[in-house]
Amino acid sequence: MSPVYLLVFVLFLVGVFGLLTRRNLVKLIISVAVIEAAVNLFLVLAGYRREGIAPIMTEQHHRAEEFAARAVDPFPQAMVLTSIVIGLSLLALLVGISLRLYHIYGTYDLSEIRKAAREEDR
Amino acid sequence: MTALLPLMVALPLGAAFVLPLFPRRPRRAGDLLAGLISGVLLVLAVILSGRFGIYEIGGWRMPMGINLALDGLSAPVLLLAAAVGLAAVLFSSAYLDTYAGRNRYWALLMLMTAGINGTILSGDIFNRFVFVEIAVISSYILVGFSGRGRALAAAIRYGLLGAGAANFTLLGVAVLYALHGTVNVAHLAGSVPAAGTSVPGPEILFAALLMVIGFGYKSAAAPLHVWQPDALAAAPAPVAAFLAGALIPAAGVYALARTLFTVFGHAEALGWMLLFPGLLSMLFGALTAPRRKDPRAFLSYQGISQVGYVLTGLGAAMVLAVRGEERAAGLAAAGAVFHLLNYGGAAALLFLAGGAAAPPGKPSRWSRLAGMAGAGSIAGIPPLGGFSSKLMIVAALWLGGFPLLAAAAAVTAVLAPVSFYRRRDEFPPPPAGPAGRTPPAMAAGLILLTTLVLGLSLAPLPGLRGRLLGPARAAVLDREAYAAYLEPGEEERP
Repeated sequence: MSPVYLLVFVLFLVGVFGLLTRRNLVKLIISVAVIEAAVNLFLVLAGYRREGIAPIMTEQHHRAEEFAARAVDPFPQAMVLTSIVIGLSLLALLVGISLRLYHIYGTYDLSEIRKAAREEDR
Repeated sequence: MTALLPLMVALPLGAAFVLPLFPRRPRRAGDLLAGLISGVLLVLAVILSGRFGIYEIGGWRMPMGINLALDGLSAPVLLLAAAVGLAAVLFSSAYLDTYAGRNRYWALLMLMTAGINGTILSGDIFNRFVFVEIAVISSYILVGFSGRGRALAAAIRYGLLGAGAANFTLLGVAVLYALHGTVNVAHLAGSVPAAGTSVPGPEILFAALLMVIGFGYKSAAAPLHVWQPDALAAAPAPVAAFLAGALIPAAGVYALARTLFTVFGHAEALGWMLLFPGLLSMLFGALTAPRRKDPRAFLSYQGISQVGYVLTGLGAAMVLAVRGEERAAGLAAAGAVFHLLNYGGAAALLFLAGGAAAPPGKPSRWSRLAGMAGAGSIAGIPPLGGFSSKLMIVAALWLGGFPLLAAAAAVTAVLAPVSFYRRRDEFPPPPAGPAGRTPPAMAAGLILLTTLVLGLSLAPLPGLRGRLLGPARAAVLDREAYAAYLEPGEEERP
């Protein structure tokens, strides 16, 4: 078990802690980004292999078994790309909504925004 | 027949990318395309119901490629989502006049439909995660579509916590992949827990817990329900109907059931992971609802209580299946799936009926009838569907040896009609202006869902029971049948 797994665990918990305790929208969005980074790191680690080679079979590899024994797993890398793209679009959306809220209420504090929204509703 | 499966995702996805390019005038061009696509999807869902099989995308054989799978559990949920989708689209075409950016609204609604259908049909857990994200990211925008402060505040809270929850699901997928080297559901069904053991190890329970948190948030199960009352109250009425009637049942409850039952298999600890949030939601929703003034918040909490019944039924089915009580487990599983359909149809109907009364006007005959059918089914008044499904769950708990839980479920079931009756003047909510008529498109949406809710009430009749509830029960409890999709020759080749 590599110490990097510990880093993943700590990063994930830091992100979740931030998401549950912060009230500032910018910090909340950063917390989401930290959680995402932790999960993406874990995905890459799932396919990691010490002294591994790129999973592209060239003429240097004469036998498939030898290649399979050394190449890293490409599948988690494909998953991580998808996950990064999802994370990016989500981040852009959250930032966009935050900016709109700032224009309306003049604050990034989520609890103040919710209080103001509730009063406006009455 | 399974060759039709990719259309369920491809049609709305294609429409979502074409719609923003549509000219602003004539205004009805976008309405027409969205309506047409939703209508075709409902027809396809009806054709596909009762048929089972897989479709291997691009001809890549299992377990290598991506596949779409239809079975006794996914087919009814697909039908529910298609009916709720068409009703929401019909309703929107008359409701939307108050909003700018009509075609963008349609594009997002179609994107959400594609995500929901993909979630239901996907045959691997990573693609299910991706489709769930497609559906929920569109829903974040649609919740805030009015652009008002309150709607945007609800949307960002829903989105921030949703992004966190999504990463729990993804981490669960990654853990399963790290352990078993596959994300294919049928492949996992044959290899989890590791060969030679019958009890899942701690790493499998950890992965299951991550999935329960991720999908539990989307199901709005207590204590992860915090987004749901705000979002449903702030969203446009047809979007609230779509969220309550399609997104929560499909991307939340169905995804959770499929993952726990088919991927992880049957274990008592997993059953309690469903029973605990189920019981909590059932009681908490029913006790909180009467205290909320806003009729939509009242409905939201009643919805949480109904999702609680479904999860309780599913959890009981799993625990009882492990203990070898086949009959009670089957009853609980069938009751849970049936209640999911009843809840989805009735909740969508109630949110639409509320929206129909919101533009100036007295509640019309249609919205009054729709409100009665929806409230009756959710409240569980015999002979409507909601009553039968609650009765099945209570009976299963009793037969399975959980008298205390059965009593709690029965008391909650009796409370629901009382709290609905006390607020009978609000369904549909009282109008605020001069009398008007429900536009024909709105009425059509209401009639469609009223038909669905009343039609579902017939499902427990002896002749029909075997067609809907039998396959659903088998799909929930029989994991080997799903794993058999892997073996060549077993499935229907496209």
